[in-house]
Amino acid sequence: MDERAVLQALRSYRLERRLRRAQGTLGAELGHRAGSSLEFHDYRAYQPGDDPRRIDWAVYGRSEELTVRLFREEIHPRLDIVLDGSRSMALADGRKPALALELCAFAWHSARLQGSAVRVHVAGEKLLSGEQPPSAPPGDARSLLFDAPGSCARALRGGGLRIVISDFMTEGSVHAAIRELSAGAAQLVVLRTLGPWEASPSIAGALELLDAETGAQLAAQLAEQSVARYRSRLARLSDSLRASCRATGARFADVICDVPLLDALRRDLLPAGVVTPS
Amino acid sequence: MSASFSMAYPLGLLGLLALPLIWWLHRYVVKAERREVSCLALWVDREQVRHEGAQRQRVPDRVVLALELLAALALCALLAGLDLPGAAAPRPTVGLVLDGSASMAGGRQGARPIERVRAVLAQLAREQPGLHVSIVLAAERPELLGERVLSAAAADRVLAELEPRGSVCNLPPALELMSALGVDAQSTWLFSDDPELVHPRLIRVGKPDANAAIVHADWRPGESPFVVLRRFELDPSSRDASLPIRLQLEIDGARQSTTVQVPREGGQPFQLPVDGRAREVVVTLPADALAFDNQVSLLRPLERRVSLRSEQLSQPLQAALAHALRAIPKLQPTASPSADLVVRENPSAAAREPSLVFLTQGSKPASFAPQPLADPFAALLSGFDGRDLLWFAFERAPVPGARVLLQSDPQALIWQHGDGVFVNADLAQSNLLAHATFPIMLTNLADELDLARGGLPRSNFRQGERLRFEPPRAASGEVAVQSPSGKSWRFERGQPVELGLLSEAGEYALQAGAQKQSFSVQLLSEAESELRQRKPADARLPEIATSARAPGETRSRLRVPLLLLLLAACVGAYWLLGGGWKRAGLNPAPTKRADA
Repeated sequence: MDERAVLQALRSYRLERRLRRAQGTLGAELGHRAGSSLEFHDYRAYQPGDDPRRIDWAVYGRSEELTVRLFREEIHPRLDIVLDGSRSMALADGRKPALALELCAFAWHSARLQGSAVRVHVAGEKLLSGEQPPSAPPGDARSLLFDAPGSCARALRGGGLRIVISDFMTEGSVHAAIRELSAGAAQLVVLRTLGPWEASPSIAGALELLDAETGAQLAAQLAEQSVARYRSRLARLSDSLRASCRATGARFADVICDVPLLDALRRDLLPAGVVTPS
Repeated sequence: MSASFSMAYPLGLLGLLALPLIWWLHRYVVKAERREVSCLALWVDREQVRHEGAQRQRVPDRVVLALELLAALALCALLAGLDLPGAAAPRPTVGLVLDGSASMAGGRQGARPIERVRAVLAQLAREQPGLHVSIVLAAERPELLGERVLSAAAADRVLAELEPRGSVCNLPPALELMSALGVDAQSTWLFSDDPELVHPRLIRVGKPDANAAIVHADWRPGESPFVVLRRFELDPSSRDASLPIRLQLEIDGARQSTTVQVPREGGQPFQLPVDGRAREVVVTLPADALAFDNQVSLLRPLERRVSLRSEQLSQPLQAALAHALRAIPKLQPTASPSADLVVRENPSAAAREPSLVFLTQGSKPASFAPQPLADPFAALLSGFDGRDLLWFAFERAPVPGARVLLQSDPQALIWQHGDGVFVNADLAQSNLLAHATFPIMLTNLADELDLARGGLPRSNFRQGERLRFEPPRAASGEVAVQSPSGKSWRFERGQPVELGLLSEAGEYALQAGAQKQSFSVQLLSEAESELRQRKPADARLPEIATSARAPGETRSRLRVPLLLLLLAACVGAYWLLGGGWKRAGLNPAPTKRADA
């Protein structure tokens, strides 16, 4: 992971945090619930115990009903970054392992700079939660993100922003993972990292393909037809992923890991509205 | 594992060379470029798999490589001589090395060393049920008695029939043989009655006893047979007692027996009064501790003569030759034209038969030949000593191609060409006829001629002598020799008769075509006979430990793993040769259906 590239990216871009129903600790950003900010939120009838200073006396003068003014709450939105810890994320294909870590670090720094409470969850064979972004990919044989997405989602805090960084290269159900992770989140951002070869494989003749996670092997002839079939399967997987994101209101961005972080933010994340220029 | 298992065996060594070759093939030939992918499922056509059958994964190459290497290794082991049935054979737990000298069978009934060995073995068998034994006899050459591994009962039977007849106990080769049989050194025990033998594993089984022995006996042509007796008594005063010996003579097929009193003084040759017609003389001492040295059997010596004829000899040479013939029994003067050797002086023509030619005349006066030098490889001049020899020779060159046997540079004195031996000497000035060189040369010449005729050289030998001779020239068929115990040798026609060291005492039979002969080998070992009168034997028997390793337990374990290994190697080879992807049906390319 290139720390300088992360710092350079932080100078250019920041994480977009316009959340629909964000929750968080008392902070500087408006939440969607009533709070104590200066931003008007709503009226409601006075109830015993309400602060008399909140009674709108003008309304009482017009209608002789005690009405209390409510204001928007001010919060620090929570951010949960979920990083796929399976071995495929550590696959040496372009800058895939490094860029995933850099994206994680960028999101962590950007959110912290904006006052958010950030937690990082690495979903390998176990879900490892921490306050700091990981420095190296764990490379486990399987990922809880797809094997048990429900248990993974329960470990996350509700009402916050969630960023999932994964290649979604799994035989498991991608839709189930997106649905579970989006449930209870103010906003889910799905970043799919793909290596340049797996995004667009070349015709390479005889190859022995080895599944990085299961260890299964396949002696293959990468002819034009077989590569075309692979691309169509990958496209189907991408369509399915996008459909799931649309259905749950998640933002989705494909990150091809063949460029530095700054270029990837400009090329892939900025159009998807995941980052904004700072 | 058999004792012959060795990876340095040529076939095993060649097999080992296959290991790096297999690795190289896997590394650079068999193995395709490998690429890791995130999800193999994206490369698999599920619908196609559904049609073609269940998905199967190919055995990983590293497993196949390991199986192939193991298979090659197992093959190497087999080629190197690994013998699983042999390895599973029971291993002996106790090794017994027996003194192979004749004294082990000596002594009175019930007190013989060999019987004490049997008692030790019986005690071991009682203490260790299921005992296995290996027995090696330490004679001049080590000999394994019975099978490699014997039960206690079988070993006792072997010992009961054993009659050591050797003259020495050669221990190191016997211990090496026992070690080669797989018996641990701490499980090997030595049994001997030799009081001077020292070894940490020795059990002394001899007892002191008085003994009288025939330590030398011979019968030479033209002489009476003689024996040399020694008396090894515990009590020196008893040596003064007279010792009767019995003579058995075989004369014209009939046996005569007589008794002779041996003089008190031992160690001197004692000539036996024997009739001149006797074919065999058997000398027997009274029974004592050691039976084998109490009897010798002497056969009438073979009359091997070389006939000699002289032609046109000068008076001095004729006189010297007659004088020499009286001292050399093997040479027999004859006037027959078919003599074995002809002695000539200054002949006018070359002779065809073997001849000794004296060239005593020359065109120029003879000159002194100082310091004659003999060919060290010439058997004819074996024993030549040129001291005090005055040799005057004529200036004469040998025949081309002749071998010079004696020369005084540059003058040739004696040379050999064909069957003739030529002596260049001026007998008038030389002292050759009065010097030992003359009879030595005649004797050697007679021996060579006699040896060339082949046949048995003598009729009486000592145990341990090496016997080798050419087959009789007149023999038409093969030569067969049979030992006293029935062991026989056969030699093809024309092949030399090589019996090696004569280890067995007794009368041997030799048949060459229709000709039959006998020769006798005597057990005459003074040192062996003397064993009877030395230090007393150890009375206590030490505790004997058997090997902790159970028979065949360790190495027979190899059988099942090796068989499993070979089975696994077969499965691996099946997968490799069959090609895993063809069965898997997952690869789009190899099948037409996938590429279509």
